[in-house]
Amino acid sequence: MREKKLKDTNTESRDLELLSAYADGELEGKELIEVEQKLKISPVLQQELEKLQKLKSLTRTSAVLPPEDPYFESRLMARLNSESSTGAKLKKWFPAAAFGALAVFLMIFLKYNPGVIDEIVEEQKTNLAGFYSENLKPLLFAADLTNEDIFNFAFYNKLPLDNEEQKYLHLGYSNEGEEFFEINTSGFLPEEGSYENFAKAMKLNSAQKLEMDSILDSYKDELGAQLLVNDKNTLAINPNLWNYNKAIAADIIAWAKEINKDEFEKLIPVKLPLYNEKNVRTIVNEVKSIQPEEFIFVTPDSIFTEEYVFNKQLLRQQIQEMKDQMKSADDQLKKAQEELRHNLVVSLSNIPKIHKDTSFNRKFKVNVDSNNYRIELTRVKIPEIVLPDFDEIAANIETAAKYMQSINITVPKGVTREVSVKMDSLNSYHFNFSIPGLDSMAQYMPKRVDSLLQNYNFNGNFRIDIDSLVSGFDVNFSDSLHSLQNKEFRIQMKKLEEEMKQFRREMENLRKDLRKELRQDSVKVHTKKSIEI
Amino acid sequence: MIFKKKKLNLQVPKILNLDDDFSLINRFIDGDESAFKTLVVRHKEKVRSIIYLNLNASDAADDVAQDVFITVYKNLKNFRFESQFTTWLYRITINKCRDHLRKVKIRNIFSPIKDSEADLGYTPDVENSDIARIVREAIKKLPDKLRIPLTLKDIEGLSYQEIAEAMDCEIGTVKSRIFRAREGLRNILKPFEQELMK
Repeated sequence: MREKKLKDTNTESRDLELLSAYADGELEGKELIEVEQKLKISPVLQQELEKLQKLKSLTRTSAVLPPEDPYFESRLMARLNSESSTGAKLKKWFPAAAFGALAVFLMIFLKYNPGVIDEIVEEQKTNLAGFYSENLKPLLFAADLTNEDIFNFAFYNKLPLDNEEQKYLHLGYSNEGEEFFEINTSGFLPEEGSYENFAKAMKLNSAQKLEMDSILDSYKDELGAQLLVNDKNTLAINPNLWNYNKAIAADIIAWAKEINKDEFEKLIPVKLPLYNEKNVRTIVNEVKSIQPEEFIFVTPDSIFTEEYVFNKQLLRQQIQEMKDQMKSADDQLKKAQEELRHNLVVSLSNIPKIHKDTSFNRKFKVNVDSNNYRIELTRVKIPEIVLPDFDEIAANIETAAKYMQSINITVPKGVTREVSVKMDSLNSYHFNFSIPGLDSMAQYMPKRVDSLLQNYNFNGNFRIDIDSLVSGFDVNFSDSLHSLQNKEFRIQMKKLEEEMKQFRREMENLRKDLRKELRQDSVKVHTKKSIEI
Repeated sequence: MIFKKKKLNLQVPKILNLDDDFSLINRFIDGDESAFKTLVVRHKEKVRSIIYLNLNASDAADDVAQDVFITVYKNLKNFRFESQFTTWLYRITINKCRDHLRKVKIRNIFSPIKDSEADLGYTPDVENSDIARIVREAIKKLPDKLRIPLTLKDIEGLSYQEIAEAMDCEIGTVKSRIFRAREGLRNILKPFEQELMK
């Protein structure tokens, strides 16, 4: 049964294969006759043939033919020409041949000059070291070590490299007991005031404190010379730094023990192999006399050791020179300050009000920094000008202005001027005032009242369009101190003060009227008022 | 005599038509480089088409076509005139395609992610794609040994004999492979049978 089924399957498969070839027109002879006969009697095969033909058609139509390539022949010919020429053949093998020849040459060369690579490496290393060891300066200049820094270095093994970036050098011991150093940019830093706390704990009096300061200070130069930095971000560390670390600690401990043994033993109860001053001196001198020939260079590219002799003598000389220069600069600065103060006092002495204040000279402050110098006037008694509360007025006016359509202030020619203020279609103001022939005032007044008020910006910076109010008057208060010497200005100041008082009264009146107007709301108000200036 | 001469003149174009490729090859062997160019012009589109179909319209198709003709150029002097020039040419073409596909497969071993991405790239979507594209993608999925004879037959119109010579196998093998290719194609396209058989 199973065999029959298998046979049927095989026959069916053969029929289908023949049918496929028939559809391709590839049958002939017996096979062709056989298929044609079966097709006649089998609708299934007919259907199958139909499907095959459809599939063939789909396959044919699905094809995407390549886009035309008009340069195909020319590219082919070019390739053929380049490949067939002897030059091209050589060119093809040239890289391999060149590398081969180079390898052979190097092998022979290195056989007879075995040390050449080491020499090159050494030379490059020296060049690199030379580049990074240029202009090395003690860290002292760069980080400005304090006594507390030195104290922290001795006891906490941490030395600040860059206070701004909080970079510090940490000396430590690995689990194997080997010294190491780290350059850290974050992490634990000794708390501020550790040195002060030590001094307090040891109950040091001021003389003893000074003595300890001098001990720490004595290491400053030395410590600075162990750590060198330059503008290429190089940090050169002398391995002797570890010795200094121990020597400073020993020195301080020995000194502290001698100064106040009781307190010291409270602080450090464990019996340590403490040194007395004599053997500490020996250690310190020994440490100071060690001149390690190699510095450890930490550069942005690499870390390496290199022989480097730092000339302490030259450093001291340079420091002295710099100190001299700074002193001379300081003297010059003091002189300049003195002159400036004198000039200011002279020029300001003309101002009667200020001159009355005899403490003026002492209230003057000059700050100098690298960018500029600044004269602070905070302590100078600046004549106080009492000003009305313009903020309040402005707020009121703003509220009132909401109801205004337009404000026309007409100033007819003549001694008596009438000012008309229209509030809205129903309300209007009329007020007269006498102006003793001030034409500039006439030009000024037609401005809208609200814009007039906006011109008065009194928030700290006293700015006023005063020139139109008083002819020939030109001042800006914010930098008016320069003009204090001006006699004319002082007269104008007085005038201005008078005018300001007058103006304030006017404004107060106007405000009252406006408030009244607001209260009355739609009631028409006529105000006649004379304003004297 | 005169009649005989006329008869000879009539025969000449017929011979030229039949053995045109052969005469061009002879001219090339005799040192006429332009004969090779004529051969290239005559057969390049067929060669490019076969490569294009078998390399799935790869950008490398034209480079492979150039390689085919360079191989022809280098070996043409050794051509033995035992089969049609086209049979020889197609065999070289198919071999170059196989070489290229082999290289791509090796390259894909070293960049398997790209390969798997390429496989995943085909997501049949009847609504958004045309029938031709679906069939093209289905043909791509056939193994090389089934796809090449199928495309040579149904698209390039080569006879079983030509395909057998080009692929260096028996006619029966070609017949069987083409049948199996069609069966495979129908299986792949089964989900779209209704749309395709309209």
